[in-house]
Amino acid sequence: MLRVDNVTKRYGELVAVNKLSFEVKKGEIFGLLGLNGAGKTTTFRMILNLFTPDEGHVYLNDDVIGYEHSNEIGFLSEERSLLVKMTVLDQLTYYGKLKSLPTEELLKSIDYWLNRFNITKYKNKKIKELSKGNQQKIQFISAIIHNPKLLILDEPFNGLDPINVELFKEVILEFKSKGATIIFSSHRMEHVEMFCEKLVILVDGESILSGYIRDIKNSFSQQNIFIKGDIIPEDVSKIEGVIKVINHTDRFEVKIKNKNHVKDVFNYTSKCDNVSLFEVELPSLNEIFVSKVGVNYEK
Amino acid sequence: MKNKFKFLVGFSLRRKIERKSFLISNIVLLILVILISNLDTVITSFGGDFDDVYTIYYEDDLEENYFDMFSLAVKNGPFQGKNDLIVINESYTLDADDKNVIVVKVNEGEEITAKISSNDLVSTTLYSSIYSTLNGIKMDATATKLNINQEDISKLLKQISIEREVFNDEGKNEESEALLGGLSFIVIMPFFFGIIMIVQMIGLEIFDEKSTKSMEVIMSSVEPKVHLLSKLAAVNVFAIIQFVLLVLYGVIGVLIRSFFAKMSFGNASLPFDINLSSYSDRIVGVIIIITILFLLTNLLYSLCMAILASTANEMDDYQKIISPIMILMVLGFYTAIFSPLFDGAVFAKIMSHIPFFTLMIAPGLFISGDISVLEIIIIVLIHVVTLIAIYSIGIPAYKQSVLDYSNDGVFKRFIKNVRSSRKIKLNK
Repeated sequence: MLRVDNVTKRYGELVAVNKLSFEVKKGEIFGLLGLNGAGKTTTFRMILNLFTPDEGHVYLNDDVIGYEHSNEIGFLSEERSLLVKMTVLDQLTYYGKLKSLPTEELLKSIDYWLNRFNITKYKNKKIKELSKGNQQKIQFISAIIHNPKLLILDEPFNGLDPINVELFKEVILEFKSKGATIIFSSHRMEHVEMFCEKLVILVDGESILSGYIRDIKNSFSQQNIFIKGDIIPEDVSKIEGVIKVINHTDRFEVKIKNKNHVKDVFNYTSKCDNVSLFEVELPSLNEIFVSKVGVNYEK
Repeated sequence: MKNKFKFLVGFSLRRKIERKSFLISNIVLLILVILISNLDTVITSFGGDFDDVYTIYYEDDLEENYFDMFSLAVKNGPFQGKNDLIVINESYTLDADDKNVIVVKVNEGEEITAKISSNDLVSTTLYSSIYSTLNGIKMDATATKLNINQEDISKLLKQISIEREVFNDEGKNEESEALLGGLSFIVIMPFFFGIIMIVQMIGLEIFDEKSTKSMEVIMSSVEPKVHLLSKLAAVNVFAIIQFVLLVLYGVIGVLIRSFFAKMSFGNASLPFDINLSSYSDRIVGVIIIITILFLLTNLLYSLCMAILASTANEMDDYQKIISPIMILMVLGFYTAIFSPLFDGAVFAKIMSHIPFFTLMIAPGLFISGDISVLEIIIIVLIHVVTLIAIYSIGIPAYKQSVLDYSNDGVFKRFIKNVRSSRKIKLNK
């Protein structure tokens, strides 16, 4: 279990992270979100023991995190962090040995993962000769090759096509089912919603929202109604509690202040012709982010 | 961490040795060393004059024939192919197709003159040998003609005999000092270039890992000091391997030379010959001092380079950050070249105590007696203290710098990281 306990990190006068606390249990995927400069990288670095917090501590299984835990942690950085002149085999050997894997086990593991990601044929190629997607696969393999108990994934789907995103998801969920603690960061809210049970949203080093996603969404009063049918948007807008009506190509999206207004919209819709869909949804994470921070997270 | 250190050293070393550039450069080095140690054979095989047989026809019209004297002097002169000289006492007229034939004709007139004829230019050494022999003949013949005693001439021409006595310098003399001074400089040269090579390799390796953003992943697995020390160890082991290979190439070169000598293709002795037997005691001392100072200076430069290179994010940064190191090295190098000019100058003495310059300056000053063994010990202590200080300041700064990708100027970034790492250390 990972516990970030009231940590603060300053760079001179700048407070990069201020009194941040959260907890991630075994088998949980935790989202760490924030715009650029919000303090995500600093938080990751404190968890990785690259930075020592000025205040507070980071605990892994109740021990203050240190280099003795480095073999239990896997890290996929947002930026490409591969030695591009090395071959795939050398690169994976290098990172695997830094995690103290015995040679035989490491070589088996390399073969397994290269095969799993369909890149065995690149084993002796130099990293710089690979496509971005394949480089991302190598980077991902280097983060998981030693079966880490704590896996930190910063933008894991960068440069991947949808098929490979699915492959990555499969592996991440496999690690979750094996009981790994996973911290996940992405600029794509749908990825966060898809994976994470819990999250923290950082703005200027401060946590502005944290907890289970389900609870966060439930506590957020605004809701969305999706309608397929011959409604007149101007009429819907006049219903009390309706904030906005958005005309998508195949449906309308009606944003309402809270769930008490669902009934009024339903009553109106039921009188219209050709209605084939009426669906009430909780707000998306991005909407919650926009309402809290004032800017779009995914922009 | 011990295992990680061993792995990092081994991995880094293997990457260097398995590079094509290492293989190619060593093949080139091997060929060069073999060529240099067999230079005369090479030149000869390309038409050089080491094995040319010269025939000299000697003729004079002096009262006394000087052929024997001429023949003996020229054959025993400094000409390298003296065993292949044929000297004939007869008059000869050169044919157009005569090769390596020299005709020497000495005429007695009012003043003795000589004429040396050949179709082509001859070896400079042989020409000098003939020239000085003819001068001797002229002197002898003139003395005979003027009825001057040979002994008187010898006394007249003989250089003054000086018995040199220096009371405070244990019998040393200026000639040996000059020779040893020059020798220490020659010995320092490879060390100087060795340090440049080592420093560059360390810097580039750290820069490579940082610029590819691999540092964050590496540093999350290895302590910064382990990482830094592994780089220093790997590069230095590599330098030792390269040095051993060079020595091996030298041995191969000498063996090949011996082989050619047995086949009568050349001379078994090396093409250069330095007799240092009378200075052997002091040379051993100087070499020990140079080796100790080399190890310390190399460690110092390597450590500084590693710490500085950790600050560089781009090649432009790297070029900026390496310049202070290079300036220090060149400054030391030129001070070493010019220090004999400031014989006993306090400036050179002070410079020899400053760690970055010591290797280049101290050995020369030690030879000239400007600094003593005690001062060498003090210099070594200064080095050790400096190393400890740079290590204790540098390691925390290294940890900060390798992860710092900010856009500040590279030197500003470096100073910022040193300061902030000091603060962190103090807070702890």
